Amino acid sequence: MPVPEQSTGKERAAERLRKVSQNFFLHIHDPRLFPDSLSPLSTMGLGVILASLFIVQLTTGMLLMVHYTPSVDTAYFSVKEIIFYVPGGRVFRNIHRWSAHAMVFVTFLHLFRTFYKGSYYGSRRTNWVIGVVLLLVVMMMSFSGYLLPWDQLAFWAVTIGSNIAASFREFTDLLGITGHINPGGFFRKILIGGQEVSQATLTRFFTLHVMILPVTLLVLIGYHFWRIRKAGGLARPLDGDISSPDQIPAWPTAFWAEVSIFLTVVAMLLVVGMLADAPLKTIANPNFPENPAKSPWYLLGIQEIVSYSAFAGGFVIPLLFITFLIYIPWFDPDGSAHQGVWFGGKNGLKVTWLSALIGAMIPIVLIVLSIFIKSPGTQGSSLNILLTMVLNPGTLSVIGYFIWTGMVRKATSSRRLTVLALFTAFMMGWTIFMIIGIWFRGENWQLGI
Amino acid sequence: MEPEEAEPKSYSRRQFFRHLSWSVLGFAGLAAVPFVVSSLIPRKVIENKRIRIGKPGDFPINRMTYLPDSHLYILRDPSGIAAMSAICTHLGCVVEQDVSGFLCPCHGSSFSLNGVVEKGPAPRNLPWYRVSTLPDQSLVVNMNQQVSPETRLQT
Repeated sequence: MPVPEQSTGKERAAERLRKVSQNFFLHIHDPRLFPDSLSPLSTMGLGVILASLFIVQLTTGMLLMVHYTPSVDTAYFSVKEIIFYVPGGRVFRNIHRWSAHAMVFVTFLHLFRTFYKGSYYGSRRTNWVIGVVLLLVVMMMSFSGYLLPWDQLAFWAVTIGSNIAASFREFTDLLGITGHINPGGFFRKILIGGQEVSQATLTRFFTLHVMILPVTLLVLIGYHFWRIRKAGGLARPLDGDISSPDQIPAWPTAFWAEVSIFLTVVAMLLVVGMLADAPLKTIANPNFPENPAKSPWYLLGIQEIVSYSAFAGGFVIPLLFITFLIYIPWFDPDGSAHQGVWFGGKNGLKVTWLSALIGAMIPIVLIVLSIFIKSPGTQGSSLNILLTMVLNPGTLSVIGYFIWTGMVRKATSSRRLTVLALFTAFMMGWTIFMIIGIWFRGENWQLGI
Repeated sequence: MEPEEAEPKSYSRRQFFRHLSWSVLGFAGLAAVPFVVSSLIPRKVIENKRIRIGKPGDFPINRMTYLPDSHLYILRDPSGIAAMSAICTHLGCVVEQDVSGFLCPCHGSSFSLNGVVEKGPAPRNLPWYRVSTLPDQSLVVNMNQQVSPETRLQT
């Protein structure tokens, strides 16, 4: 229905509402929204940035897929061909790589924003859980893509990553039942298709990267969007009622905001993609590990604690943290005072600062101590293995975080402050271990600058 | 006349069929799980567990020779031949030999010349495998069978 030339304001508004409600793609929005929801400080547009990055990933990924061959003999050379022969291939590959890193990074920012602004209460609980799952899928997506160029970086990062997946074995070893039942080894075998990283691994990771994970991601993102509407729409003023007259039609205001975020993301990626080349080392050599062999930055925090104990760092602590993330909205279900308030107010801000400080200090002190105190070593008895699992900077930090959280809970008896303390401390610890892994680990994983 | 309304049953026919349909669907899904999982298990692995490594004369005496394809160190000394894994028991990197033993470049575990852990994070010693001889004198390493580091195959 075309708009009459001399339309009144009312008719124009009705037409705008109709545009949204009758269009499938625009249907992710409520037809009307609060101007506050569009303010940059409200959600910082992080979700839209992520969606934009995902669109960029799909597009560049398909272009790369046309030229890439998932075979150990030719994969490396097909990537070289993309860089040096395919017109624009270098830039597409660069964008795909940097955008993947950005996606992991922004997903964490999105998690922080949602957590610190208290956006996981009530009917938003489901979306919080979907978000945690999405975080894991995004990381798996990035990690599975890491192997595809089949260079030294890829090969050894995935060798280490897949062995972290098998680190449950340390536990079954401790019980002395690995010979009979070995879930860690079984999972690793299914993941990489054999005993070591090989053609089977490349085929499996390729399938994961271009088929299984993207489809999972698409479905989950669709659900994530739909749940926003189901839970009452975008972040809005605390006193904002759904029938409030202060709202404006989503079309076209919200869409201009989204399109401009998308265009900014693409523009930035174009600049970065033209200026900075994605790394490609020499072709994978299964007999000669990179020294030091490091996984991608977002896994280096885990790799650092894995270098103390594979079972504690690669299995127990990550599992504990993911469980905690998912459990947050159930532990702290009453959002009447905190929903939509940054850090849940003044006290929350104080607890957050303190927790960040403690979250950083504990691992730093422990790592410095570990230079002077010799570890009991892992040789010989089961007791030594058990001691190494517990008495290392990673496990001790986590224990310290739980003690700190317990103190906060006792002192304040506020559930919101309790989760703020644990989340902040955990995230700070993760960051510290990541920084150590990135900048302070040299040859033979020696600590140094 | 609607019989269901006239005579409310505790468990209606409709409910029964609904439950039946869901159960059938559930069982069908469950029945598929073992097939899907077993199709994902790699089959070629078993063959690689026994590896032919050549004849005793191929290995110089009193040295550890590295075999790239199988990630094994083969030791030949006056008393015989033995085979040790070159894969670090921590996270699977290939260990490098230096004068005093073996060193893992990934997370700094070190092992003695016998493969015994000297410094973590590796949780286990490097395994030694049984070596045997085929009728044509060529050597076979059986990775399914671990032996003590002192075991030698007499040559």
